Amino acid sequence: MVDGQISTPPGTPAQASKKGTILLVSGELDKALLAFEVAAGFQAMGMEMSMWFVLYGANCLRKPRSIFSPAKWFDKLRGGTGRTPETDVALQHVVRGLNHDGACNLPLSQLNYGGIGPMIIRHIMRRKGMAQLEDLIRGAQELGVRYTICQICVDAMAVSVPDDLIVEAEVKGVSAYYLEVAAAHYNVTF
Amino acid sequence: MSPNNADSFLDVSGVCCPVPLIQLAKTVKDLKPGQILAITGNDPIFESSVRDFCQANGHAVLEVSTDEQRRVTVQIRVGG
Repeated sequence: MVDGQISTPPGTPAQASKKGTILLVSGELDKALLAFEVAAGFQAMGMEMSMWFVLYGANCLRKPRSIFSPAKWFDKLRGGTGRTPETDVALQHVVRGLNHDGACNLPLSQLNYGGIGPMIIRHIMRRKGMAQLEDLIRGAQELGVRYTICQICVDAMAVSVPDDLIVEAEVKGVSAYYLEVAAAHYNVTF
Repeated sequence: MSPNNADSFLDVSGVCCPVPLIQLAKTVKDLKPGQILAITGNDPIFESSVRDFCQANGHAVLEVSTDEQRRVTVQIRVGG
């Protein structure tokens, strides 16, 4: 089978102008996988992608810490980008402690069965040669997908940026999100 | 045209969407316009993925061949 001709007219900068944003709200494995697959795939196809993380969506980017880890409970709410330490309260330690940190600890939205569901899904994915969430997060970033975390979520859920994160991410607010969304061709929320 | 004419080879057998695309995009980034890349994979939608990638980014699909193990090899010429 031989084609020979160029599929798009030469000289068209197909990838130069297209932009997309993905807003990840959910901290569930299925939605996070989908969001990162779309982001990595679109970036590979030539669209300039930017991912925004709010609430539990930021759990994908956080370092996996065991519930027994001192860093999880005795964080001293030490601050970081976008934090206001003077308004921190003790209950933020509880939120931080009970949170499912890390891409490897995310539950499924359906068929979770107390953590057995994600193990089954991961086994199937490994057998099928599908990329795991952790690989997609790093792969997407290597391709040039930009990660941004919402500032009020960082502040309220006591995330220390960049100490708590496995990848580089910026901390911005809704105005920056607006500018990106208004300039983008593809905006989606998971 | 035989696969030996290619300037660069990429084997993405055993992984599925979107990993072949990610690898392909990374490899193409390092190639100069006019160079030929032979990419091999066995994902069921591999050929159409590569064709879509070429259509979106202005590369040319030169040749597609399938071997007896259902592995598809697509040769593409990198566009400018």
